[in-house]
Amino acid sequence: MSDLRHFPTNSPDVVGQQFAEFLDHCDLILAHVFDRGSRMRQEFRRWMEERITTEENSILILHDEPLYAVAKYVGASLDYVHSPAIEKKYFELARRSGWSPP
Amino acid sequence: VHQGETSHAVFNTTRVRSQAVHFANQKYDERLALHIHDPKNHAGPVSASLMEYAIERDILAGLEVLAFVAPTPDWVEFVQFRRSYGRGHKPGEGVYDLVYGPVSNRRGEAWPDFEQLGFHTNRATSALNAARVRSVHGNPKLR
Repeated sequence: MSDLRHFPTNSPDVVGQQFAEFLDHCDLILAHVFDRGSRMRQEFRRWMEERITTEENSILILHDEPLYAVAKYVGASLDYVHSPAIEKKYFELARRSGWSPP
Repeated sequence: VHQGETSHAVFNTTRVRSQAVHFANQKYDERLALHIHDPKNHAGPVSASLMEYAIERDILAGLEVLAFVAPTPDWVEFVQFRRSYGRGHKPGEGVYDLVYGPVSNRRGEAWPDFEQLGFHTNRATSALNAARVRSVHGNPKLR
């Protein structure tokens, strides 16, 4: 396989890009999987950006899948996240966006 | 997690503890941020804690183990398989007792220097000796 690579956590540019992508994925998940409007999406982005800039080990935020990060934010249980309706919406979004499924 | 009396320890335990402390503190921050955002649905965290377990070498040898010592193409394939075809490890049904290997991010890339050891069956978890819990009294985060 040719897509094997390490994630260089000591590169601010790469880490910044990873955070930007993470936020974009979360935003799409909020909109298209959890059907949340622009107000909550903006609130989530502000909330996560503050965590990214203030937490001591914020790089570890990227350990979480965006789907689970968003689910925790909206208070959704793991059972709900893995319900057929949510999984269907998520996999459809992942397919359209070219993401790997979690 | 470390391997108790096993002399050929896979892990540098100092490094693993340091990673675990960072991870526990990050989870504390996350729980706190969620609590501040929505206190009705998220209880406030009390403190970050670290639990260490040991396992007897002879018991470990009797478990069905899948190990990846580096983020090889085989490991990438395994991660992709896990993520694409449900929650089992094997092509058919079932899971390994224990899986060891690098930690991947959501794109299937390896986190440098992070490793994980997953105990997936009752047989495996029941072999773990009692945890030693580490937390700092009066301080919510570990040092």
